[in-house]
Amino acid sequence: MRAARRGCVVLGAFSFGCGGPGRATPEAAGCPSRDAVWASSDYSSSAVGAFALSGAVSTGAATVDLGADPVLAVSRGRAFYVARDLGTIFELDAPCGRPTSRWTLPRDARGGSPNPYDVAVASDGSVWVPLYDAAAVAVLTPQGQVATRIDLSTFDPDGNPDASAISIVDTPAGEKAFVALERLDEPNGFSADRDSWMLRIDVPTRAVETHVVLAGRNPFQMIAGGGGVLWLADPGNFDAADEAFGGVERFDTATSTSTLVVTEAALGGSVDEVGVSGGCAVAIVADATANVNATSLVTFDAATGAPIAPASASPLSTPGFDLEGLAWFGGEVAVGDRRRAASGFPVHAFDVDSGCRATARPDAVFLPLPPVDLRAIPR
Amino acid sequence: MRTRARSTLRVVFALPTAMAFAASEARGQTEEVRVRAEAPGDFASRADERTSVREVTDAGSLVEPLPGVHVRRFGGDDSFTTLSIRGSSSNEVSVILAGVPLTGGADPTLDLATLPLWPGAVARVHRSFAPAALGPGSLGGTLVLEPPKPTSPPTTDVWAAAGSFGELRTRVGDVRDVGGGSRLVSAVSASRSDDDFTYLDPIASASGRDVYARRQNAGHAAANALVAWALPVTWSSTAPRGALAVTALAQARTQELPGTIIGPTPFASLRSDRALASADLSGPAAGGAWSFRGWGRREGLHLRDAVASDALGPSRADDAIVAAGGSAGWRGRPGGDTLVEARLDGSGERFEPGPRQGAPPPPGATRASAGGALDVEWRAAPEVALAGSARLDAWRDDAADGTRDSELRPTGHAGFEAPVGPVVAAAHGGATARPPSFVERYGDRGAFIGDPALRPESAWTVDAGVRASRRLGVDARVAFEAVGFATWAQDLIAFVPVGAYGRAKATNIGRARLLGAELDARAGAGPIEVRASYAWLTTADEAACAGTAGECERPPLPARPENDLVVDAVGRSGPVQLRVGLDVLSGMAADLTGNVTVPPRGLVSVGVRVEPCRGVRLAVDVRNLFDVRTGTYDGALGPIREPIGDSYLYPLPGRTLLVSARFTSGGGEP
Repeated sequence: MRAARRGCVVLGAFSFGCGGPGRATPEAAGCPSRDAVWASSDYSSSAVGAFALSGAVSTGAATVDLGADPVLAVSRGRAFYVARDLGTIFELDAPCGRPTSRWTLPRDARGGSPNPYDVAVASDGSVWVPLYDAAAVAVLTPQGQVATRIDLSTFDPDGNPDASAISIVDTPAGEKAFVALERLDEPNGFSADRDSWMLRIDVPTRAVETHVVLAGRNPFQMIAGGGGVLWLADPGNFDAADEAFGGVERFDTATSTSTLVVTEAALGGSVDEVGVSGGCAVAIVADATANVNATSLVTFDAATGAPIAPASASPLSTPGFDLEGLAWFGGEVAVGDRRRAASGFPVHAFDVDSGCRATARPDAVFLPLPPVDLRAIPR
Repeated sequence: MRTRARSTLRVVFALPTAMAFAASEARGQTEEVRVRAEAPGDFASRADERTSVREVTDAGSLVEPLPGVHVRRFGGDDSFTTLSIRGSSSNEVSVILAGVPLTGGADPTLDLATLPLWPGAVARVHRSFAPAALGPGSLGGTLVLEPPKPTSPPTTDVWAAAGSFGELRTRVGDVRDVGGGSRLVSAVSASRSDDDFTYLDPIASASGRDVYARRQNAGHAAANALVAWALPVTWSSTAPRGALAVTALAQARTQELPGTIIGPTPFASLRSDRALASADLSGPAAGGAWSFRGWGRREGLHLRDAVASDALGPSRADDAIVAAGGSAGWRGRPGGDTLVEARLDGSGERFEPGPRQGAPPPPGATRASAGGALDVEWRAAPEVALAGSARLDAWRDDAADGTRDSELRPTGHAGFEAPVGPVVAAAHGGATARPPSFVERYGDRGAFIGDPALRPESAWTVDAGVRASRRLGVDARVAFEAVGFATWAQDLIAFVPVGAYGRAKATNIGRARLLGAELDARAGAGPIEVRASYAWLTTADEAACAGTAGECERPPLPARPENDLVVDAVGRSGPVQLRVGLDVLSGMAADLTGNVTVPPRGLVSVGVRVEPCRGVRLAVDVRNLFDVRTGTYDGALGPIREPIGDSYLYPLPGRTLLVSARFTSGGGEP
């Protein structure tokens, strides 16, 4: 049994096989029906692949160079797997979630990983990477060589503003890179004691233009919405769920203004991830119980911030910090669950109606390791 | 007194596991009350610093060739080194030094590199089961490290060596009569190294372009001293004499902590000191001997690191561990064929966290324990022995925050040994247990969360094997021991990430199944001798599933090699001895799901020893002769090379050279 599974995985690594849930059937060519790329990890090894909501899963082997602490990024139609602990970035063949090339970032001053957290692609093909531990943004050539290193150390009193996310947007003032700075208090246990900032960098000149104080703190995740809007999940401190600076934030790149659309108190937990489609937003929130942080899927009106299904009325709640990975697919939303089911680690799918009410569908997608990130494949 | 001479299977040269167990020696008794016996209660193996065919650098290298033992190094010699027996984790091995337990609630995982070595040091590894009189065992087994004994022949032994990467070592031991039948052992040892070897940097390297980096902040310096004094004690003019033996040991060590190759810690170091003392008093009693033992131990741990270290721990921590205990027992033969040892023991241990910077101090904690031990061996026939060991241990843990827990836990095992045709067969079965450590029970108020209600880890183990020794013709001989075992462990304590910050919480979720086989063999013909030990191990994490198949697949436990082989071939010609060794390791998972397999490695070593005159030995040892420094892993884009090591994050050095000289006077042989 073990050998059979290994065979499947090895096949999957190179031909990207392993088809449906619980199936180990090599797939001859391509992954035409995939909806999302996924990254999963038990923090000792990691895997990456793609899935269709119908249940087909492309699975690559968990290999040593995928590291133990991954995230995904999608930008300008390209998908990336970021091995944060190793300081490496894989570009993915998005339909299959298959690594096609690997770039290595220079070590930090101590010789360790600079801890890349996100990837954004500019119109000139340059690849921008915020380096969480190196207080910088690395601008890579299309071939993956570091062309420019933008120093961020002056944007935090402790010398590292904790750059956590990046998005490159065509604004009325030109192409700009927006870099979310958590600005956590590292000596004080990485607490959200200070304002978080959004840094605006002019892409053509690589010059930092300004910083904007965000309405929320500790921007854990940032996604691009339509019309030049960025949505930020601001958990603040996870051991409190009633902080005034915790919630979901809407950042307008055209005006560089920001608004906390909904507070964590209204949603019933610190916001870990957010996804927006049209007027409906879904989020994963975590309660304030220390070292438990039970997660729930919540929905709210993206325009008004009015909660529709807060944590107390969640269509999916877990006993611990189990929900990770959130992606929209038109009228459907998928959320990863790190609790193992009989056939693997499930990705739950929900139909979301026009009233932003989510209804669970039977589980069809199962991953080989606990999910950490899901991203819809750009079409 | 039973000896192998009474056996029809005459031992030409003894396997470590077949050597007579001089139990009374370990308790400092004199010959008058010494009771020798075979040890049918468990499979044990023995390594002697004097008789090793390889130059012994540290305690890890002494026990590494033993069957069923896997020494996991996190760098070169004297780096952080842990011990696994029969696939156990490192905190499931009890370690006893000079009769003093070193592992406890505060420090369940002993760094083997901190164990001192002196000329004549002997290590005995009890696999799974150990005599109850030794104290509470653990799931994997017990390592007993004995310094030179006062009962050894009077001798002075000096060993000194210099090697690669700034390695300098010396060991001096002296055993002498001091009059009145008293013996005095004094020993010192010291070592230092830089361990600044180069390794393949997998991150900086690219296809067709290897980049080697130098390991930084990996050195150490250590000094150890020991004094042991034994004197006969006359309790009455008509009774056999007893003995008083006192041992004192002091150690100081500075260990640089290099971190991983992707998270180096160039400024981290651990300064440690250890002082221990023990006293044994024995005397004759009806049909045997009584003995009392008292011991004390103090360890200081002083961690230093840069404030902005990748380690994310405290930048300064000063902790202390203080422990003391004692035991009283009787050993003898109530009947002619029955050997009994009964002991009562107790101990107290205190963990005292000191000042800390950069992290909250963990809670202080104490453990009080008491136990009763009974070892019984019955010789049903001259070559047939039945043995049983039982312990009843009670312990109570108290944390400084008022949390407390207590537990009463019986353990024991039984076995037999009997001739079956041309071999001697032995088998054992029983239960073992390990109480939770302080960090598992109370956490560290930082990354680790404790659970005061944790249950002890426990396991059932059975093992069976055969051994034989034969002389073949005039000048050839062969001896072997082959053993199979199975262990079912439950309530294993694992740290599980919880909450948004991913702190690790100790939980009793683990269950595991381990099956294995061990072979220890020696053969000799004329001037040629071959020694080999091999261990095969297969494990299953019964608490986890791997893959997405409908049927749950149990992944292997990480960091346990499926195959572990150590072979040495030695040829002697006059004063010259040539050795060629091979260390092979394969089938080890690097991750929890068993998807990442550490590449197999085979490292060749050679050594030459010359004895130009009686009492003098010069030696040159080359390890990793072919400078193997990389292994090939499966990568996301195809095969990739990483540094060799049980984990590529902690690389091992390439080829190393050690030049040594040994001078032995008196009754010892170099």
